[in-house]
Amino acid sequence: MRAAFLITAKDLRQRVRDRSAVLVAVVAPLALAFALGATVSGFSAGSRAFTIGLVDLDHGPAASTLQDALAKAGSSVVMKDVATPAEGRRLVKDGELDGAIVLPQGLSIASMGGPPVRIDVIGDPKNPIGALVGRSIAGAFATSMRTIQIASKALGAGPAETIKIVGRVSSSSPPISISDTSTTRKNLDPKTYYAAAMAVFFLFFAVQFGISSLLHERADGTLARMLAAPISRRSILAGKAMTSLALGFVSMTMLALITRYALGAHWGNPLGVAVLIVCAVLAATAVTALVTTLAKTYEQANAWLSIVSVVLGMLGGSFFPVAQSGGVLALLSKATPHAWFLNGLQDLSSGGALSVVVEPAIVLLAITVVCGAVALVRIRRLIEP
Amino acid sequence: MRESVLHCEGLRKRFGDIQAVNGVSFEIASGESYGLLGPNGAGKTTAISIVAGLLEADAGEAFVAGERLTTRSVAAKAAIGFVPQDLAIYPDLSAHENLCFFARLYGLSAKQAHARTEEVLEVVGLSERANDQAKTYSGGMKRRLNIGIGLLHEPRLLILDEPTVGVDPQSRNAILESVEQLGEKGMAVLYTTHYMEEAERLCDRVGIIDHGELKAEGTREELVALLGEHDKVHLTGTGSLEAAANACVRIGAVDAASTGDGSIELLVKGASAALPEILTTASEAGVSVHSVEVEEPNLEAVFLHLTGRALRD
Ligand SMILES: Nc1ncnc2c1ncn2[C@@H]1O[C@H](COP(=O)(O)OP(=O)(O)OP(=O)(O)O)[C@@H](O)[C@H]1O
Ligand SMILES: [Mg+2]
Repeated sequence: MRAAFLITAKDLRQRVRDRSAVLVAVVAPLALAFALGATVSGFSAGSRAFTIGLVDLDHGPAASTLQDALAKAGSSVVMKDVATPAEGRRLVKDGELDGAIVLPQGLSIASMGGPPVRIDVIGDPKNPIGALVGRSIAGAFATSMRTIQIASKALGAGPAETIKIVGRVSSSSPPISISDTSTTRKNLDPKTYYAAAMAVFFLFFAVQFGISSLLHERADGTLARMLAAPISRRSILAGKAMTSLALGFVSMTMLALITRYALGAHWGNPLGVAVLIVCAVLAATAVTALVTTLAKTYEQANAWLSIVSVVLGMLGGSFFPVAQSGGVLALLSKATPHAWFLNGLQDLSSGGALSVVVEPAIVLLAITVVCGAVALVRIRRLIEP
Repeated sequence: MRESVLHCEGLRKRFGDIQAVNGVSFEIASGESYGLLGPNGAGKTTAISIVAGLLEADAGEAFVAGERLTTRSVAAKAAIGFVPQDLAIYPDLSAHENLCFFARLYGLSAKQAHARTEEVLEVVGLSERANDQAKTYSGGMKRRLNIGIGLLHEPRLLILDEPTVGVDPQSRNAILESVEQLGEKGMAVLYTTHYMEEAERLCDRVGIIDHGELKAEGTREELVALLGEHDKVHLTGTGSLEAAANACVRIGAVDAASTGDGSIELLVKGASAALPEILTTASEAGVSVHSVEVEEPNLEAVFLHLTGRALRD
């Protein structure tokens, strides 16, 4: 067990260092929960609008896609065109802008697979929330570009399609009214719904950094090195699984706390929420482990995991409440961990007793056991030099 | 007699149609360095992977420090330090973090791990860059870190798989020196290479491996003695070297011949007597000879003698 903890600690250190896990586990879901929640409901009284400057050095489709998407955030975020980064810095410093985003030259080309570029965010230390909003928007944008790049690659869409898909996805954030569609189950308010939906959606990305890094380490030869050390294969596997679980728990807990206190989301009875989070993290880890064992290479695992996460998220109601549409989709939705997690939360927040989480918890644990057992049988062949 | 650290007997491993290791047996005593010398694809890495507990052999057995070795034997693995042929380090961690992590995997306490890490950093000459991420290192520095990881727990047996491949001569020399020092400290070293000079310089005993089989083993002197009265003749020239080599093998005194870059290597019984005939044969085959050298026989000549091929083709 000691070796397993050492491996987990090493993994977490690497993940914190390369920041991708932080972006996927915290920044992106927060930004999307924030943007989607705002699109549907507007912000609660008292919250003010943020003015964010946009310095467009790219003059390409990617930049205008971001502008379109942000224009939708309407009441909460006001975008203002700014000519140069220098002017952006001045306006932020003078307090006329809460923050500014600099879209670099070549961003559109980068999104089509060109050389990578960096999106800079200008903030003022005196206005940390404004800077956070700017950073969140930029982060979410970068993540969505990347996810879609991976997805379009996996689906075989041409590079030109990529931009179109970005446009389509961001313009399809659904301004749905989700009140009074069901008589038996009170819906979550939009803020809570999207906070929870984004949290569980990105949970499936966050846990990937653990289990599927086995394939990465195998390709790099570091797995062989661990296998040559006097530790058991079981402890290597346990270490990787614990990395997934740790990232999942930290991500979900932080999102629950931040959205609760910063966005005013109502998650419901903390104990019930904790049970649901634990079960969801276990299920996400098991599903991820299973998909990973089907892949041959790290790249393949990444692509498949992205597709599985997106499909499960869509079906499970991470973007719109599929379960309420009825028919086949509703049935398929029942097969996703996302749907059970969100339903559990809904029941909990409709004032249900703690016992309402028992059913979703059992289903999530059943998914964990089934996927986990198959993964365990198959994963042996991954822990080879 | 010195105590045996590694003993292996009849190791075999097959990958599909390829018999990568075909009945290899050898033994290494403490403080001894043993070299496996063989060309690409000879089965060195496969043999070493079995001995490091990474691969399960199809047949045969190995004992390290008296413990039977399998892919699951924790006790045997604790006695082994392993340096793989390809770099196996975490590029996003520093040398210090890489070393500390593996030191702790090998069972050292946090305090011991730190102390040993500092010592190993010193040995591999990375103290000054210890806190930079490994991806910022030069190729030679990465290699040295790769080797350092194998030294952390002061293993009874250190296994190095071609540690100098792709390293500039200076770093290569530094690596060879540190391996020599380890041998002096009483560590048993198993070293693979296809560089004859490295095997001659480092190893007390050498095993010559080709097509998965150990063709011969012994000290340098013992191996060279296998050549008997043979001398190695090195001939440079231009023209159809291949044809000349083929013609020369037909001479009675010539045991083996192979062509290299603008040269022909010949293994000859009694070089001085046979030299005129060799030169005539070569020029008749259409080679204009530039120089002839009769060299002291070395392991390269032994390899040529045993396999009929040059070590590097
Ligand atoms: N995992 C594997 N699957 C299939 N064949 C393999 C595998 N590993 C090695 N082989 C084959 O076994 C033979 C011996 O390979 P090995 O890597 O042991 O050679 P080597 O002596 O280390 O060569 P080099 O000097 O190039 O490192 C080769 O023909 C190789 O193609
Ligand atoms: Mg090799």
